[in-house]
Amino acid sequence: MTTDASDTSLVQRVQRGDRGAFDALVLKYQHKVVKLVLRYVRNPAEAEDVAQEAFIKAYRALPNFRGDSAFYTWLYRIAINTAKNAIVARDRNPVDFDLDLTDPEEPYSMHNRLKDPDTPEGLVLTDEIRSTVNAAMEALPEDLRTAIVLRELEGLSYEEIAARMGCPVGTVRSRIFRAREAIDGRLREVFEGGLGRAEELG
Amino acid sequence: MNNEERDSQLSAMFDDELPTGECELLARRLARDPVLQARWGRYAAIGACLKGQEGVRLPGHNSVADHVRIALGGEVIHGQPVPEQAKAGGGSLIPRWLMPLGMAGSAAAVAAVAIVWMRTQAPVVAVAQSSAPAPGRGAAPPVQMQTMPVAPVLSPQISVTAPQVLQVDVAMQGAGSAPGLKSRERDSYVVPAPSLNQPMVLLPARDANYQGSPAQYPGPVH
Repeated sequence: MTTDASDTSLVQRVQRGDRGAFDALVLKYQHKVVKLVLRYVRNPAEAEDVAQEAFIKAYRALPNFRGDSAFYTWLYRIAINTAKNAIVARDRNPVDFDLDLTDPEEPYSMHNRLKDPDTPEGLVLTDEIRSTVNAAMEALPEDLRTAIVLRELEGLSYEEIAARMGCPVGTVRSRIFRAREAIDGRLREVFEGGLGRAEELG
Repeated sequence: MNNEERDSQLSAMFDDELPTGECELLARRLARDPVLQARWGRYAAIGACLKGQEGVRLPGHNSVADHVRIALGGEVIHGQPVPEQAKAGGGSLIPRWLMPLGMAGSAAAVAAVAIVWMRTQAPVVAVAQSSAPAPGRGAAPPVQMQTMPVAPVLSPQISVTAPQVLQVDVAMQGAGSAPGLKSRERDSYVVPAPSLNQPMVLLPARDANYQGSPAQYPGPVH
């Protein structure tokens, strides 16, 4: 199995001018990058801003990405540098919370900085997702739950999981897929057609 | 492939456990299919939730990915694609089987340029068949040789430096006016279209059966 084959395929598509492939990369790594940036900025809303800026920088730098390292390693460096720059910029220009946020001249990031995910709506939404995922996990058969936990929490490869569970690699792939499908089905039930119950609560 | 098989592949691709060839096909589809992208995004959200991460968002629900998509708008970049096996010690964008063709093309181009240069240096005048002047008349207008465009480069990844059109203008002097030249027979020049296997050679039509090395071609026998 080629390590990083999926990222390489997507990166190649982006470099050929396929924007949709970059959207897939952002979807895959957005949570990881936000978590990384939170080590520096310690504010979820600001972390989202910095992550967004890092992804935009990465997109514009992708023509120069030669694949000498894994895509995420490269993205990781960009995110760290962006976070450090954000700290320096913030220290130089402390945010004035009396700014008129309806002023269209204000930078886009300023609007974002002062909203999600710390708003009550954002927090409720996050809790809703987490509780839905946890409930779906509880309902999974043991073998599916074990497989996805070993993958997502332990970070084991399919081969390692197969050795651990004493089953073929194909079975591991199938179990992880079925576990995800079951959880995803619950998420779609709850959030299909908008913000789900969280929106109703708001 | 049914949807379940496709989604199973998507799950494996998300874990970097899908073979490269299948990845490329699925990546193409993933980049264009919003339904598949939403599923992909939910897989990421599920993983983040299981890891206990705060602030997890679903695609389309004010996530970072949504903001990035809006911020970039229709901005499109182009770059040199990452080599297939960059991580495995480097590869090449040119298929291995195509490399000899690329080298043959380059060699043919160089040979053609060298022969054209030789012909223009040699004391031989080319006369196009269709416009040969009557013997004994005064200076004739310049004659343009028959030209043929060189075939385009075989592959966009092969760089052949040959000019697109080989064109040699020879100013023909009137009969008897060129010292050392007694008679002029009509010569038409053939520029064969470059073949994949044969170097391109510029030979007079009547010497087209010349079998020797192009570099040693002595010129037409008079």
